[in-house]
Amino acid sequence: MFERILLAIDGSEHSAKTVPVAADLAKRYEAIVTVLHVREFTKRFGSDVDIDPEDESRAYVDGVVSELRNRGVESHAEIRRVGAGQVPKEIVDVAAEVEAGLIVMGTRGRTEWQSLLVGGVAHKVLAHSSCPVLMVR
Amino acid sequence: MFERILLAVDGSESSKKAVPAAAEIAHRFGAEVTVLHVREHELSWGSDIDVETAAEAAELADGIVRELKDVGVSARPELRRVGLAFVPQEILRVAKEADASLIVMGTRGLTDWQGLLLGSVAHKVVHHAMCPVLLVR
Repeated sequence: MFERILLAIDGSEHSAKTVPVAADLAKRYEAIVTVLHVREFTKRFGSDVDIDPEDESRAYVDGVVSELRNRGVESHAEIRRVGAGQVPKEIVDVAAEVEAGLIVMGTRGRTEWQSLLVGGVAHKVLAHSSCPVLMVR
Repeated sequence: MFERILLAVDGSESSKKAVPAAAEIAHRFGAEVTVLHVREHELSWGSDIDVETAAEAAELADGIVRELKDVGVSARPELRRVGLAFVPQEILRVAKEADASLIVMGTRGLTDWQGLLLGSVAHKVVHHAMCPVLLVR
């Protein structure tokens, strides 16, 4: 059921807490974990401005992949770049692409609970994911 | 990691789908499942009206307990009765009492990428739960 797990991380403290949970599940299921970070860009004066710079995203995701591999879990990095506000849709799309049986994510937010508000990332992923979502607080 | 699972059920389609997910994890982790059903009552013209009878509630929870036991998972029913709209609080209370390390429940998410998406019970539980919450649509 959970042979492929999508771990969606955003760099927040909440998403750091999801890593050991995903690792433990993956070990039980001998699952392959796709570590996804979706970075956003925004349009300013006609040019694209990255909210998360590419090299930072890469270093961050690679760090999580290494952590999972050190725990004996097979893991791959996936970085996507989308327009502002498109993060939840991208997470759901990648879950479908990798045929994930489970999405693991934190209750992300710049404040404690922002992301679960209507319109928040976690909220939208929950509402649109066709596979179960494990929310880690 | 997931030694004690609280499976909160309400008889909805998505909550039916949560049962195999809980069974699968319980099986993998050798966990014990508490099958919780919270029924509501309403005060109307001074009298207390059950939205659902005790017998109906017991039948629902017992049926799921049987389903779990049939696949070799240790499970017990837990029935609670609360006033209208107090279901999330009760789920959280039972999770604490049972020292659950995971809550599994269905979510009745609807509509588009912008709208009101997540069932309000699931929403509140995810907000306040101290343990990870697995949501099944």
